[in-house]
Amino acid sequence: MSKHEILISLQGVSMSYNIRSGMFKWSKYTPLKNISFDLRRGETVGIIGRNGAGKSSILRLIAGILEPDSGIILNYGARVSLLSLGVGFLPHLTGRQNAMLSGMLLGLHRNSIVEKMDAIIDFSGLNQFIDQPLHTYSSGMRARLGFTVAIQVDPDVLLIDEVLGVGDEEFRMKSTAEIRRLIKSDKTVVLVSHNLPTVRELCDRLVWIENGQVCQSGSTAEVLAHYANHASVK
Amino acid sequence: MQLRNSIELIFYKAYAELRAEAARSYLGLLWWVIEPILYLSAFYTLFVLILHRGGPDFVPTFLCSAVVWKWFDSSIKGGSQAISLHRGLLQQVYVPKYIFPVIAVLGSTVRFIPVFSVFMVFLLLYGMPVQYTWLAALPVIFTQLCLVMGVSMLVGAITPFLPDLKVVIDNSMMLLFFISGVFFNINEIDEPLKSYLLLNPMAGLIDEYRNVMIRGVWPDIARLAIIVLFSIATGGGALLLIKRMDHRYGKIGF
Repeated sequence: MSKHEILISLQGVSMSYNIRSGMFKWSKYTPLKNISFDLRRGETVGIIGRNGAGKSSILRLIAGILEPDSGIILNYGARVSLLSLGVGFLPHLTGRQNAMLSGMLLGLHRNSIVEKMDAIIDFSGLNQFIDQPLHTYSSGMRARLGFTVAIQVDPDVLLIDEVLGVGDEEFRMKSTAEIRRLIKSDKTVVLVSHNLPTVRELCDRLVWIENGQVCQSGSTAEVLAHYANHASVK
Repeated sequence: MQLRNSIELIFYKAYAELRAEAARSYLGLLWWVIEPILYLSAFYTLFVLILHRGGPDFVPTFLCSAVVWKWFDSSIKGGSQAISLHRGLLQQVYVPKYIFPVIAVLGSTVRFIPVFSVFMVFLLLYGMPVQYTWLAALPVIFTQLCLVMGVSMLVGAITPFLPDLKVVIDNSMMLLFFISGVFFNINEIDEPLKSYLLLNPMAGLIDEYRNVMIRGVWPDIARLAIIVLFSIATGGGALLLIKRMDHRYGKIGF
């Protein structure tokens, strides 16, 4: 397999939502218009742009959660996963039961989660709290569990939406290090972030989205220079 | 998501939701028995103690119908909301949508089992003899399981796009409750009204439950087979609809 082999290709992708604006009234909102770019094996692609530009919608399209209304997304057999924290958590279940449920929703087999459970407990640092109900957890403890379960999935393409560090200071450093390790591995990563220094450090190239369209796509240094200039003018 | 993952997820999520439901109250699992008893007691008080309705076997006949109706009612109402209630989840991860009505029906079915067991104990305490035909309750229960699965899948598939349907379903269930023969014997109704009422599969099923549990009569297999075929057609149509609309569910709520 070539390092530069295309794993996923977005070709002229547009997507709309129908928004109910009154009784029997609907209006169309189109967050993405004619988006095209490729994802190649092993690269880290950053998606930047203002809030509401359509960055998260692109990740959902690549993950197969949503489907485009026009254009096509070609997936050449890559397993894709959007890093989501606390998927399907139920407050009255224990941490262990929630880890099982969340892992299965993320596509892991039950036996695989059972095998990973000790590692989940160890990495999250929840220890004896793992068998307590989730509603007794602090928000930081929930984030620890959610993050630890989410990183157990081992896809070919990992999609990360602003999840670069969660929990208290100690776990934030630990989770940031883990995400950086994943990004710097051979895995293909798509990273959505507003943190430009992080994007500069981690991404091989960038796609800048503005008003649902690709404003610029290219090397990280080149796109960031234009983006910073654009932002300062605005 | 592979079929094996989906099946594992269906059973674990159904189990997890039942555990979570039990953990939300002090009495936990006991509510699965107490709640239907309270439900049945309300009708018993009205029809037997206040209105003095029915003949010698009115109480077991009515309880038999009410117990199986409760299963039908909770399955359809739960199934209709099953996909809608997971709107947030559908934004986070791809999950085949058919699993949600299936999980709702599994949950209501598990809750039905202890209630039906309590009903059988009641029959014994009431002085009804144990009959061989009780064994035939299993195919009747299987038929009802097919029916609730098919109908729940269909209403679950449509309701996210037409949320107002919930109100229609709730009121339709009340109408069906009164015309399914819970309070009367469908065989005492004159034609052609009886034939019209039997177009409702629950009317036929309630009659079959009474046959096997109270009257000691073996069930009408042809009637059960027709209901199973209807259920398969309904469920199959719903599955096709869900498959066709699969990625549109993620856009709901905008």
